[in-house]
This record gives sequence, structure tokens and C-alpha cells, in this order.
Amino acid sequence: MIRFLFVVSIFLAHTIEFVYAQEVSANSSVKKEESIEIQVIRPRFFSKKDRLEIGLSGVFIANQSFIYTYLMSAIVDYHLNEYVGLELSYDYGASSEKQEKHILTSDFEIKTEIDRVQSMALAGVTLTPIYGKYQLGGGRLLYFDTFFTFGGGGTGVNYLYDHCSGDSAPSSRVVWYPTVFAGVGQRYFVGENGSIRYDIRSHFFNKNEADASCTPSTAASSSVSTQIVTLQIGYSYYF
Amino acid sequence: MKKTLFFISILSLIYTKIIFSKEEGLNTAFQQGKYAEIISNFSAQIGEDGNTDVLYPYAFSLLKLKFPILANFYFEKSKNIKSKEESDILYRYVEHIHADKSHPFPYGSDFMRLIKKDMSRFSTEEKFRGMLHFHTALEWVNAGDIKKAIHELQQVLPTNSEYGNALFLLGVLENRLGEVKRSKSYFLKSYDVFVQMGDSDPVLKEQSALNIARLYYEEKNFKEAIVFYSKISENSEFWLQALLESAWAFYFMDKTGNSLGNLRTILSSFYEKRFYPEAYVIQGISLIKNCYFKSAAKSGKFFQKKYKPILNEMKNIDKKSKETPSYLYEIFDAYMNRKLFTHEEIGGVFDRILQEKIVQREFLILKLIKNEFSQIRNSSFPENVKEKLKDQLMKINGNRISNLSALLMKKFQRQMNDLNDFSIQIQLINAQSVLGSLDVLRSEMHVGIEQKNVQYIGGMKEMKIDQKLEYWPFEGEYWRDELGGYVYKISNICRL
Repeated sequence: MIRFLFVVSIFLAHTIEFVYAQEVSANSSVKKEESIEIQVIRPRFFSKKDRLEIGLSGVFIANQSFIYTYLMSAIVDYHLNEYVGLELSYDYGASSEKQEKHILTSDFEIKTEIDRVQSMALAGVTLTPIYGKYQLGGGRLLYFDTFFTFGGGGTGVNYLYDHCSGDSAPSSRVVWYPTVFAGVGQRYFVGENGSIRYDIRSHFFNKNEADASCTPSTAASSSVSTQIVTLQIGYSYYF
Repeated sequence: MKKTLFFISILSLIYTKIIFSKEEGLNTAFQQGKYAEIISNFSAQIGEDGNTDVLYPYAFSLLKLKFPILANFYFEKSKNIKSKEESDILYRYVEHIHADKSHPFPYGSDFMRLIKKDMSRFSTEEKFRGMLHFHTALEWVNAGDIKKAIHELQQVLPTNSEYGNALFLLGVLENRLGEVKRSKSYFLKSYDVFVQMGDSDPVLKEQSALNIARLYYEEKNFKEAIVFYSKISENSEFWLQALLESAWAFYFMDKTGNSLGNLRTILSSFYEKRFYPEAYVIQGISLIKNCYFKSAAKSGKFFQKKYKPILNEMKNIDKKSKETPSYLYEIFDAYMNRKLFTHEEIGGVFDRILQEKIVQREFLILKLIKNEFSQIRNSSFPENVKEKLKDQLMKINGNRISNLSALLMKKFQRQMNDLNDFSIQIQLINAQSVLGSLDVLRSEMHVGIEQKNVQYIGGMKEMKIDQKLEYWPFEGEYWRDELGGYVYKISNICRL
């Protein structure tokens, strides 16, 4: 009888162990079951890796009170992968005066000192953390990515000295200042080889106030930080 | 006596002149294209046996007046060609129906009956020779002689327009004889032919790809099967079927992530109303294979909730159809014409059956018959002519509905039996998921390691080294462009 009870108890112990193991297994399975991930995996619509991007953009300086400045920008990017790229750009353009400047001059005889950005030569890095798509009406898709850029180079400011009067006004010249910039932009992909891109960038450079004075050679040097905010939009082709 | 004979001869002369004049009148009217006049004036001469000289121009006039069903009926009734004019008319008719893709072209024995009225002419024309071989083959198939059918089809030349169709049918017939290798080779050839033809016959191209995939699947060469399933485009009527069948192939290759991914598309809200109960079976066993018992049980419950009422409804309809043979046809007709429909839930079943070409053809014929009734009503024919045409059309209509009812019944019962089988399988899966036991359902299929080592992305595409991919998470929202691209990241949680 004792032996029988012993065998039964051993059997019961194993059964309990088995049921417990099953329950633990089922419980952990339940937890794992809830974590099935589903993805869409397919060939990438637009790939930038190891491709050269050459683009042309129109640039507008957004934060100038008395002039409009428009530049053309030539951009060359090399994309190391989908996320990181190296960029070179050269901008060149011209400025025109706003009505406000004319009113100040004619009505109040106030001649303003203007920083006319004529050119910029920059090098930087682009970082593209976001790749996405929009669904348009009719089901069509628009693929895009969002990128950040930062880097440095030089900004060429064209001093006309039109605020100076008389024969003592110096002749116009372009002065280059080292510049750093940071920006954000998006590319909207057109087919497999093109994109429309836009950037908003903020450029910072320190200029010498004496450079703008009517007597630059004798005026006292004084460094002032200048910010240029540009909006640019254009088209790029990928090789 | 002499007076009587004289009188009889005068009458005969007059009668012959009348006949001759009438024939002259018919020929003139036909040449001048006065088809309505022919129908109005010569309907009385059309008898039940078709034994009349006016039948060919009469039938062709009906065709020209846009009565294709009646025209076809009278052409079929007509006797063998007696004159060059009749031969020309028949030739023009066959050319017309061959060119008009909207016309329910007679095929097989129906077509051969037509051609045999002037076989000597059609058999000498290169452009009809391929058609002759093809339809003769169909006749042999109906007669049950597959080998003779194959022999006929092998005489269709590559230059002939029926060549692709002939290759396709050869594939079907060789498969029926159990000659899988030969069948596959014919389907591969037909696929190449249809690819070269571009978009002129996408349906047969995709059917060829589907059949090739199925043959590879039968040989357990799932990798090649998936290659051909992936050739079926998303716009194809066979695409969902390809996703379903390739889900089985993925299952046997131990790629349950890809299998479940395919099923995600079929079971998406985009295709809610489509009829693919088998998807739940594959889903259930794929989940069980990885020990996702709770998910498998959920899938089974969902199947029961969705398909149990459908199965009950189908059984109901089946019972009523046995009492009233045309009942099923009437339901289909109401469904297609969006009339008050009390069987909404089995719309998916009806859509599945209506996808079949043979069913579509029969409904097209009935639609054309309805149009012809309306045209007769609105025509300027004399009343007696209208009555005659209407009577004839009603007889044709009656026969067609009867044939269609039988066809629909066969298809419907097959779907019902399949659904019943799946229901039983799902119950078994539910039982296994409760027990947590894998033995009964674990596949014993032996699949080579080279098939298991291949990795797949969405869309049944093999992953290539250095291929640039994009990943979109699926969190319940369906994007139209993502359908077919899902892959489950599922790991086996069984304790070995």
C-alpha cells in the first residue's frame, strides 16, 4: 500500500510538473504571440546609395529687410548610403532694392548699409533619417525623404558703398567671410533618377563692420555676427 | 385534257417566274444591303428544318441588323453550301465572328458544324487552318479521345494565330494524361508565346504561368513554383489565387513568415468580400507550426463566424435548387443586376463562380438575347415577323437558361463542398490548437535544404544579395500599394 501510494505520488508529481511546464510555456507563448511583427518588405523605390546627385536650385534670401536677393545654386552630392551624403554647392546671384529702401532714401534721406550676398561656396554633410510616402488622390504615391545638412564654407558679400556720398565713396568690392550653416530639406522623388528638393538653411558668418563703412581702411574693426536664412528649391538628377 | 395541261404549264411558268423574281429580289436586296427588307419579306419562307434557299442571306441580314444570337441560330440550322453566294456569306460570317471579340464565338463542335458546311473552302485558307485544327481538337476532347485531340493540336503552326491557344490546350491535355514533363514544356512554350504577343491576351499568359507554377508545386519544386506565381501581376484576376497557392509553397518551404504575409493580403479589408476560406486553413496551420496556438484558435473562430452562416445559406440554396432547377440562375441574375438580393453574404461565392470564362460566356449570351428581344419590339418588322422571331428567341432563351442552370449548379455545389471540407479542417486545427499538439498537423513533407535556404521578401520575390529594400511597418492600416508585400517576422516559439 505504501509502495503504491509512493508510485502514485511520484506519478502525480510528474504530472503536476508537466502541467505546470505546459502552463508556463503557454503563458510565455501567449506573451510572445502578442508580439508578431508584420512588415512590408520590397525593393526600394528610390535608392541613393553610391549615387552622384547633381542639381540646380533657385535660392532666395528670406531675412533681408531692404533688398531682394536671388541666387542660382549648383549642388553636387555624393551619397555614401541612404542616410549620409557629402555635398558641395556654389551659389551666385544678385540683389534688387525694395520699395522701402527707396522711400527711406527719398523721403527721409536715410541711406542704409546693406549686405548684398553675391555668392556662397559651401561644403557639408547631409543626414537623411526619414524616408516616407504620401498617398495622393486616386491612389498615386509620392515618395520623399527628409534630410538635415550642416557644414561650412564662405559667403561673398558685395559692398557697393551706395550709402556713402561724394567722391570719397570707395569702389565696390566683394569680401569673403567664413561661414557655417545648418538646414533642413526634403526631396520628392520623380521616377528612378530625379527629385525635386527644397532646403531651408541658416548661414552664420562674422563680418567686420569696418568693411561696410565709407572709409574701410581707417574705420575701427568690429566683428558682428550675421545670419542669412535661405529658401531654395530645385531639381536634382542622380547618376 | 389538252386544256388542263396547257393551264398547268402556264401556272408553272407563272410560279417559276414568281420564284425567280423573288430570288432576284432577294439577291438584289442583299447586294444593296437592304437587310430589314429581307427579314420582313422572307421570314415566312424560313421553316423549322432550315431547308430553304433564303437561309444564308436571311441569317446574315440578322447579323447585320445586330441580332447575333438569332443569326448564329439560323447559320447553325442552314444546310451545306450549294452556291458561291452562300459560300461567300458563310465566309463573311465566320470572319466577322472571329474578329468581333465581344461576340460569344461558337467553339468546339458548334464551330465545326458551321465550318463543315463549306469545309473545302475553309480548309484551304491558311488563316482558318489553325482554327480548324484547334476546334477539331475540342471536338475530340468532348468525345473523350485526348490523344486524337493532341494530334490535331500539334498540327497548328507557329505562324498561326491559334498557336498560343493550341500550346495551352496541349499543356492541359498532357496533364490529363499524366504526362507532367510534357505538360510543363507546353505551358512554358505557351507562356513565351503570350509574352511575345504583349498584352493581347494577358489572361492566357497568366493562366499559363499559374499552371506552370502548379506543375512545379506538384513536383515539390516550390522554389520554381514561386517564381511563376510571382509572374502573375497584381491586376490579374488570378493574383489572389497565386498568393494563396504560393502561401502553401512557402509553408512547405518552412517560410511561414512569407506564407502568413501572403494571407495578410487575401484577408485584408480590400478583399473582404472575396471568397478564400482556404486562407484560414493555411493561416491556422502556419501559426500552429510555430506554436502560436492562441492566434491559431482566434483564426479558427474568425473562420467559423464568417463562413458558418455562408455554408448554411449555401446548403439552403442547394436544397431549393433541387426543387426548382432555375432557382439558382434566378439568384445569380438578381445578384448581377443588383436587384433586391437576400443573399448578400454569399456574394463572394457568386463572384468566384462568375469569374469563370464559361459562366461569363453563358451570361453574355443571355444578355444578348435580352437585347434582341428589345430590338425586335422596337423594330419596324411586320407583326407576324416579330412574332416569329420572338418565338424562336424564346426557345433559344429557354435552352440557354436550362444549360446555364445546370452549369451553375455544378459550380455552386463544388464551392459548397470545398467550404464544407475547409470547415472540417478548421475544426481539426482548433482542436489541435487547444491540445497544443503538433504531431497531427506537422508536415512530413521532405523539402530539400536548397529550397529552405532561400530567403524571400514580399511579393514572392527572392531576396538578392545587395538588393536595396524598403521596410514599412504594418500596424493595421492597409495601403493599396503594400498589398502583396507583407512578411511576418515570426519566430518559432515551440520548445523542442
